[in-house]
Amino acid sequence: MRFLVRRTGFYMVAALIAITLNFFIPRMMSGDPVTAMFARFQGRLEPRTMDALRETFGFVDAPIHEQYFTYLQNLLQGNFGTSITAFPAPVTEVIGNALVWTLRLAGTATIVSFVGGTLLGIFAAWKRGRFSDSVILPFLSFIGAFPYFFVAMLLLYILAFGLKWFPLSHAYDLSIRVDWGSPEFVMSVLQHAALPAFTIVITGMGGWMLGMRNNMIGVLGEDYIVMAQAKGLSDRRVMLTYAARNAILPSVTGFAMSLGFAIGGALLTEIVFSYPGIGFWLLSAVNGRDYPLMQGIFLMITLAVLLANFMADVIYVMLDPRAR
Amino acid sequence: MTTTQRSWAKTRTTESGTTEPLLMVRDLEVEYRTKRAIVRAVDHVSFDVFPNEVLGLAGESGCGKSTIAHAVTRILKPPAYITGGKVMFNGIDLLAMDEDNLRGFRWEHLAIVFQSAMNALNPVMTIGNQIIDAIQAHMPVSKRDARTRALELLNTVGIDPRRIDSYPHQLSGGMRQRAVIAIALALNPELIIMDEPTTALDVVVQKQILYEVQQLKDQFGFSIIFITHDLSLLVEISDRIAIMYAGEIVEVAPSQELFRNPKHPYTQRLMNSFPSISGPKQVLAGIPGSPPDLSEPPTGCRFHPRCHVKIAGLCEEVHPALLEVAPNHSAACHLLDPEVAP
Amino acid sequence: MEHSNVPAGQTTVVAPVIHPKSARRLRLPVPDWLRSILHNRKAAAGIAILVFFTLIALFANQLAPTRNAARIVGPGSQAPSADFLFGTSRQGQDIFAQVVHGARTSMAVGFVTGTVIMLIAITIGLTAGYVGGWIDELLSLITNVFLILPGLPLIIVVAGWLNRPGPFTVVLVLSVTSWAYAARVLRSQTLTLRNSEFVAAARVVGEPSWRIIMFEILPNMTSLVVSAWIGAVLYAILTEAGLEFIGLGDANAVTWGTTLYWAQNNQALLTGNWWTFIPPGMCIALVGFSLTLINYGIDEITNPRLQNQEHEGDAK
Repeated sequence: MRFLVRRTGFYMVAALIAITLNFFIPRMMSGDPVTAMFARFQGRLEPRTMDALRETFGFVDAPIHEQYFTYLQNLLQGNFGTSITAFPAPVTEVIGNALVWTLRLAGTATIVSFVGGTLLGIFAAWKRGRFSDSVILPFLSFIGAFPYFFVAMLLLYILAFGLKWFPLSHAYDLSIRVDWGSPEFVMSVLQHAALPAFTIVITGMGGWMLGMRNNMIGVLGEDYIVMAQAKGLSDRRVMLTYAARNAILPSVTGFAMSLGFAIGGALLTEIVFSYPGIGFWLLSAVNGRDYPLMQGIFLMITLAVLLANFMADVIYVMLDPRAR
Repeated sequence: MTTTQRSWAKTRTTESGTTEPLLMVRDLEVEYRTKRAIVRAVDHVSFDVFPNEVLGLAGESGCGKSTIAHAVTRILKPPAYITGGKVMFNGIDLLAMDEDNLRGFRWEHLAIVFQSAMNALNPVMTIGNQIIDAIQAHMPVSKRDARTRALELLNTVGIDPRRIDSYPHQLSGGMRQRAVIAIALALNPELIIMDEPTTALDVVVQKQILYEVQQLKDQFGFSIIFITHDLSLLVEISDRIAIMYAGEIVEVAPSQELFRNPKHPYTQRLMNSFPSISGPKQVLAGIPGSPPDLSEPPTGCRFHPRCHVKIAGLCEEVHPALLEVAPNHSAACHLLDPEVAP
Repeated sequence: MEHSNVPAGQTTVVAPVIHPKSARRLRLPVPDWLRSILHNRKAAAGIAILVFFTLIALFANQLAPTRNAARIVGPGSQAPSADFLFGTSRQGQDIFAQVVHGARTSMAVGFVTGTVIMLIAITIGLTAGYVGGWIDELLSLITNVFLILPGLPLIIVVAGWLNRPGPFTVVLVLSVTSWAYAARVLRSQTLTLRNSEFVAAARVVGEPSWRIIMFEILPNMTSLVVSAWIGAVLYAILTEAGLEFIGLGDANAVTWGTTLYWAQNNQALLTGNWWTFIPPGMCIALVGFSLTLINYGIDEITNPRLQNQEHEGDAK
């Protein structure tokens, strides 16, 4: 329990630092971007709305610490400002829509990648030198060295453009009405998600697999494995309950640490597939100089990563009695 | 309760007093094969273990004693391979047994206790479940019955049964070693191999556990192969002792006989650096020179480079055989061979 | 206790002797670490690929003589031919020239960034690990925060504010945001080494802390530093390419990432101009793979358990 409390404290500090970075980065840019940001609003907004927006970001005529607290206050009230690219939608609304798509796509794919890679790693270590170890592992490691967006481009080019097995972009067929009750719509969503999801799964899997394999090999040399085998347990039980159960502990920690990297890859994948998730919107925001949206998305991603890390901690505590 | 109790008890086929050995090891050979060299860690080793007997196996580290333990239980891993010999357990050839039969046989008839209890216990599993696992792997009993048995076993080895749901890290070193012994006792085996079981513990706990192990041995009637480099410990606990040097057994005798009347020069040097049974604990360290490199063992007698009484021209050339030098007392040394040394 | 960290079943092996033959083999002044790396198949393959691309970067002018690889040299959208080895872009730029010259910028940015990352990581990791106390607490906190903040989104946000940063700025931004992983690894190794005898000896002799860190601790974690450095270079190359690919770099610079950016921008995927994105993409992938291979090799050398054993048929 102490472990989790300590970790929660750390996540709060990390969140505060992310917010602070968000506050200071634009202020370090010699003032120009800030003016540019508000210049884009000029003419589209009533002066009164303009002032409200300035205030949201703390750009008030006050000392910097007061600006900071104004900014914090607005964040706590869930006020992230108004998006320019999706004007006049509030940033929270844009993020909310995008986040759902990203969680469905990247979230699921990352978990599948982790679970699949981990299982493959278990087998590769258990049967050293056999198929999974000598063929699948080098192959996945090779793919894993590719940049996510290049794998995405290759798959898109070969499977979607060349063979026409999959749609080229977006999250669903735009000619179909959005209705989660209709099988046609759901099918379309699945078809559109398949290729980007496959990209994320296959690019990340090699890393998880190698990590798990190497942990397993370390654990397999332990006396308690030999003893479990000597006790007469089935191979399956030794492999899963004795070896993998211990070998997965560093992987869970590693999962949390690599999540930031995995998310970066997922963002690029979304961009290649024009998938309307967080990554796609982040790029649109950057290209459209939509600073409120850009900052909002960064904060959202950070909070999501912190939350995922916390969940990984909870799982770790459940798996390792020594952490309790 | 009595029915459950009886189901754990095993009928001993050998009656006390018979001279039929429980374990017969003949010409056992184990090699470590690495890219650079082949090392014969165990070379033509033969010995017997009789029912309800404690056989001590002693030697410097690297002499092959742990390798024998792992070979007899067949838990050697590459690059170590059994390359020859026979291991007969109650007339059954262990080396000829396939993996499936072995899985059923091992632990039910022979168990092993590892050197470090911390490493021998799965850190993410309660000790109770680790005992239950062993029981259920061999007997079609319910988890509940297996748990009852586990509670009994913990009590037997001196652990408060309420600790059954403790994880290894929650136990002290001595407790952990007791838990490992409880796992070894789970199926009431005829033979338990103990590979330096108390090396990692402090002296008081060590003595306590050894005392309890002897009690358990008499209570349940199993035999023990006790491996250590600590000779003083061995003299206390063993019925007979085999001394190993460089992968070979160089002397075997009942422990009092060996203690009073060591024959092999190596054993004698060991005993010289060993004042009294009740005195301070002695570790084998007091012999000049170091054990040979087994990838290129010395010709003739392997001990000759360190021997103070070697016969020039003979010991370097001819390998001595293990001969009976007194009743129940064998040693491998040319000096003891009546045909060589009158 | 006598051999507590040796795997069971191998406790009694005598250390294998090196055959005198192999020791006598040609006496080139090659340091031991390089020899063992070159003896590892994976590492050797990785080094070979890396050397290949380094040569391309060094001799870019000889391979594709041009003063500006972004220049329009012929008709657009030409498939590979004898004139244009990798074809031309939609605007008519020579892709081969772009790939060859792009190797320079991409690899230079990667290696420079990787090195700067390591300098930061060594400074922070070793200081935290050696000095300890509240300084360690503070540095570890900062390290852990940077480790958990999602790197690419942060970089994208900074790049967004910077408005198309040039390669120099990219190096700076990547370095400032990406040192945490290496720092953490180095810190924990420093903690281990700090308690070793030779460090204690140096302290007794009265060596100043900075000397102990630089001359006692650092040289004893070379393999860790090298593998963290390679990881940092890999990360930098991939991230730089990613940034440029989404158009956040200097679009006029010739790098693998910008070539991919223009390919994507020109709808290469939808017009079938595969030659505009496959060569630069494969280059990034191969350089990435070579670095990964080298790190696998180092891993195997420093952790012998991972090496393939000769006889494992009946392991299980």
